[in-house]
Amino acid sequence: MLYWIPHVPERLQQGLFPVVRWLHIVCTSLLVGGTLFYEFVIPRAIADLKEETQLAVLGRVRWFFRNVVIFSAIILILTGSLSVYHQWPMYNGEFHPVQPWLYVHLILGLLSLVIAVLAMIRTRAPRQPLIWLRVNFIILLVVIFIVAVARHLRLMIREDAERFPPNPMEMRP
Amino acid sequence: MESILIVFFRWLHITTACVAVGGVFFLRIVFPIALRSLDAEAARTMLLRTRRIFKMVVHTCILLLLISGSYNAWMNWPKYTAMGRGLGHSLFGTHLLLALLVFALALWLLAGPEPKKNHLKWMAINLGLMFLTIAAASVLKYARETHSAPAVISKNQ
Repeated sequence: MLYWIPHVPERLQQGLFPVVRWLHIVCTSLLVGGTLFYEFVIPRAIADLKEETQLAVLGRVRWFFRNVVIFSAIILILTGSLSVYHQWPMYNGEFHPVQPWLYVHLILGLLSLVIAVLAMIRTRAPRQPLIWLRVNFIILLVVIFIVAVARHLRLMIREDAERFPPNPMEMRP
Repeated sequence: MESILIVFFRWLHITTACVAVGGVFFLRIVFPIALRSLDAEAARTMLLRTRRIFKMVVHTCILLLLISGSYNAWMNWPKYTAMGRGLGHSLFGTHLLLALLVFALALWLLAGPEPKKNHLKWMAINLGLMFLTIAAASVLKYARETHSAPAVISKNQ
């Protein structure tokens, strides 16, 4: 349907899109599920331990989760850019009303990635839960909601176009 | 009203899947690293506590995924049929079978107060199956969107 790289076989390009989408969802899962686990599950699990033990556990988890967050952020930006490039015709012309939702998704998505990376690159493990990661969890849920709305709008416009195809006489220059 | 429900259930399905997959990744990959800093008794206590909390999360996720997945399948059924030659239904069937396998494995792994023997190995297998389930859904979505490109998209290119 859509080509993105010239001189690369169509079948290969077609196979690339599901992989890009898969990577985008997997990295989103690592961020959303990881944040939930880090902020809501681990603090409850370590509540009975001594304070120094709690800090040791949080420090180790944080060290590994920071790498996961940075890796996910890079992959999300790369796969997101490729998806937008690939699906650009589906945000233009008849699909123009979907564009604002795409921009909100992009802005909020980037904001959540910046917050996640900044919250995780602090060198010391905090004693209190990270309020910013909790805010970020909500932002991530909103980002997923926005993309669900954008997709639904796109499909509605597409279904209308399939039901009422453009008149070839009107398309003539 | 229908549009609101479609968007809501799609959002619920993706969000719940993200929470489940990310949670399993965290419990299997990140959590064991944290446990290494504890002595055996403290590590075991923490594992059991985390497992108990995570069990509630996973059970809720399975329920929400079944509800939202059923609604999505019901709404998309004619589209799968329209894809022709059984493509839509075979991809959806693969996604559904993998998902049911993941649920069964998760319920079995989290059953009882004590973790199963080789629970880390089984959790890694379940994580791999989760990634495959998402891959099946990605291919299904792509196939559905590309099986017939309407004139408006071709015009925009």
